Amino acid sequence: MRGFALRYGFSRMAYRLWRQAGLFGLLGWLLVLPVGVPAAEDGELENKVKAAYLYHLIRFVEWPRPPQSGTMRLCIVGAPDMGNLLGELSNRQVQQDVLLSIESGDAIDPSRCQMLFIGRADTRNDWLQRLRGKSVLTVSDRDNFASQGGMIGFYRDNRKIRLEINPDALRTANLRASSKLLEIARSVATDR
Amino acid sequence: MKTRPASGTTARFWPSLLLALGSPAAQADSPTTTNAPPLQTLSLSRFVEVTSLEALGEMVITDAKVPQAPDSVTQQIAVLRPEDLANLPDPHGNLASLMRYTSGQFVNVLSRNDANWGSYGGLGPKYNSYLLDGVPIDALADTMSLNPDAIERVEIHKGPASVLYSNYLTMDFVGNQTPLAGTTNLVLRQQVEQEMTRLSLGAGTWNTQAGRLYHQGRQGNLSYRFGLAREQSDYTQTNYEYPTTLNSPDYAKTQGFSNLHYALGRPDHAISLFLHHTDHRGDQGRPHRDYQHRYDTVNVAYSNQFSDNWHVQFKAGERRYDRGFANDNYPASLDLSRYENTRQIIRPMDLSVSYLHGQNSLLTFGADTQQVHYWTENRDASGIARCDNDARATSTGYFIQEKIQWQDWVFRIGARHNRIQQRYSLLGGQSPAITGRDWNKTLWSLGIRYRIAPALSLYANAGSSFMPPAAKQIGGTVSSPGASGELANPNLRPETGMGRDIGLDWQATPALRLGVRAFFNTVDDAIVTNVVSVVPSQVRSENAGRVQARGLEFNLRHAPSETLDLFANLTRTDSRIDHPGNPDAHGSAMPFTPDLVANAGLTTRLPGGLTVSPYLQWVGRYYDSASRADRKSFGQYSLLNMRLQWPLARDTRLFLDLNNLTDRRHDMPFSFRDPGCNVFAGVSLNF
Repeated sequence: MRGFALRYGFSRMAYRLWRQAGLFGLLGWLLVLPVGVPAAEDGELENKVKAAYLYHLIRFVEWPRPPQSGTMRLCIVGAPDMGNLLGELSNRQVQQDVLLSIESGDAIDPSRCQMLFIGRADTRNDWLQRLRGKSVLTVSDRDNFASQGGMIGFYRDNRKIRLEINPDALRTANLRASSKLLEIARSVATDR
Repeated sequence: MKTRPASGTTARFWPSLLLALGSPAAQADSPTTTNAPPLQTLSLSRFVEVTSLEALGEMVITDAKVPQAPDSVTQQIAVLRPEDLANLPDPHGNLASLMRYTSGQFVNVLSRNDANWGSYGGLGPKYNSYLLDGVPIDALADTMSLNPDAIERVEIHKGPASVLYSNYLTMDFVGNQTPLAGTTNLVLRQQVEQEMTRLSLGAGTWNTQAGRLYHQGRQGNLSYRFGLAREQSDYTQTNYEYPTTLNSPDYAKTQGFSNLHYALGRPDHAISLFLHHTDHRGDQGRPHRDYQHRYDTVNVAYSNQFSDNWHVQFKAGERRYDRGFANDNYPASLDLSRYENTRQIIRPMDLSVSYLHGQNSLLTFGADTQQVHYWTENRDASGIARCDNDARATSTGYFIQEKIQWQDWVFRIGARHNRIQQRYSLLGGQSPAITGRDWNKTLWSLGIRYRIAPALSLYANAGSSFMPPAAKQIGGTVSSPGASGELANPNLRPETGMGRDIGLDWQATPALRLGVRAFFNTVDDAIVTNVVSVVPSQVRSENAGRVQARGLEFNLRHAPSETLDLFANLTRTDSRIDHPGNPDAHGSAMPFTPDLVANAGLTTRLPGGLTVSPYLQWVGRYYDSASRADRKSFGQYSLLNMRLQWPLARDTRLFLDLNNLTDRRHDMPFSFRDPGCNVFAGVSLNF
């Protein structure tokens, strides 16, 4: 660029001024650049936080035996956005020699899963019945999920997403929550 | 006229290509820890790494509307995660060799006891900088000396990165290093969630014995990690020119590190301290051909997300390199002739501020600096020491970058102003006529990404770079006519460069990811290191005119089932030196840059828990010099490596590394030769 300027007769001073103006112009543009860009949809960060919770929960729950195929299956129903988001974590190592597998859709066989997330869009009410006696960790963002017999539920607390846990439901499924999880989550009992 | 590869090369290549198609878990990812943007802008993959169960409960999820990554960056970033690193065969902990199967680069590990070599973006080994948690380290030495247990993952940023990241004024090896073709960040493990201790023991070919002990724990807000490693071997480092060893060579490498991370009330307000020491000594099979290298690495970091929009980080470090070699008068005599020491102390610092403004915009600005002291010493047989080179350098940079996201577009623009000063007290044992040089340079960088469809995006980047010559290249290291080392060239000029790339990323299905990338890098007044003599081993750096490197990369990753993960990539490079004043080099290819590199591999889990991970690499032709009259041709070989792993119990794992299975003893520059097939087996216990 310098060669171009000199070759076409610009004086050295003019070139220097042009270069300085260009640098200041760049900085000025950066400072006054319009900032009114359209917003992304609400709920993306909420989904991300819930997805991260699901990922972290794996480390704080103990299953009676490690997955036979070396794969921890996290199944998603009624939450296609969550399923797409969690696809990014597929094949990620979650425990020693155990990789994460994500399955999402309406035709999932929950008995093949180690963890099942039930989204609000799924209207079936028989998941807990179908999984009775099986060591499948059930998680949902449905209202009052944990007090209705589910194991872990998400609830809103002043613009934040928090956990509530039903220790009896976990015990019945032969799952064990770590003391750290019990400390962080709010404990609830099944409504009679 | 540049010579084309012989047709036989293509014929040998195609069978390897058919077998090949995965670079270990390369996934484009969003802004990384190098400029630590706010948590909300991170991809889920990064988000889970930097958050914890407690932190999630404190995160405000409304009023933060940001789109999802990886569409939020314009560059292509490949990430090697812990599970990817665990499947790679590398018993000697050479971090650079863990990246050898990534497209766009050629990592050439000359031996277990020498610096890594290679090329990036069609250019030589000094055109890709390395960072340790965002603070510069040496591309050739530190990747050999750092303990892999300290590393959480590796982030490989492709394309020009000279605005946010500075040069590394190593002043040694092939000279100073610049991020023109990209930068590679080794990310340290930080927060600990579960206490764990791991012991690994193994043995292999050439009487190799190795052990590693690692422990991590947490006390309240303080997370800590410690590691120790020891490896010793009778490894044979052959010289194909003529036999140079009389006894069995041997080496021993000892590493120790500690990493402390303290959260100051919040996960995103923390300080950390990393300390690492390596002692690497051995001999090359003669009484007075021993060596001893000591490396010390310190990283200090402070990071604070002090509001929803503002983030500040301060990072500093110290790197000490002390390399010593003994020399004899072989073949005339085996008596000690001299002992050479090369020492460097490099202190980098970086202050960066990020401002999340508007809806999706991220402004990053800051300053960085490096203080360098480089000196070499010669001690003769009687013990009299003489300093041959003594130079200091200072680099100061001011940078600013804006990134705007608007609907399906991402725009990036940045600038940096560098001031570099070099002062020479001694060069080649003499007080130089020129005692110093100063340079001022302004650099720029641009990028754009467009999301064509939810899973398909197009990106393009361009940027400039600048690099002064190193003191070693100006003053040389050869103290006597028959000694090995670098010959002086006091007339070396700095080089300026420009990098450009354009590419497509396509997540075709949840299990299939494809990518294609074209790059075009140019360097004016390129400083090229040429082999002048093999015996003694001498090189000289010269300004080789204009270098152009064009290339095309293809990437594929396919995980069709829970038990199978495939990757493949291919890089085709065409490099050319334009130097009309030197007919011998005019039209020649860039040294150390293969015209073709292809990689393929897979990881499969078999019944019973056995995991098998074979890796195949094909390396095309490359040369060791820009001089067509003196250069030698290398490459045109394939290498097959494999790692097998058996989980014996919940916390115990056996592993077996089979390297160079086809026993290809290919020649490499500087008289190195791959010693052939070798094996390493071990056991790893967690408790």
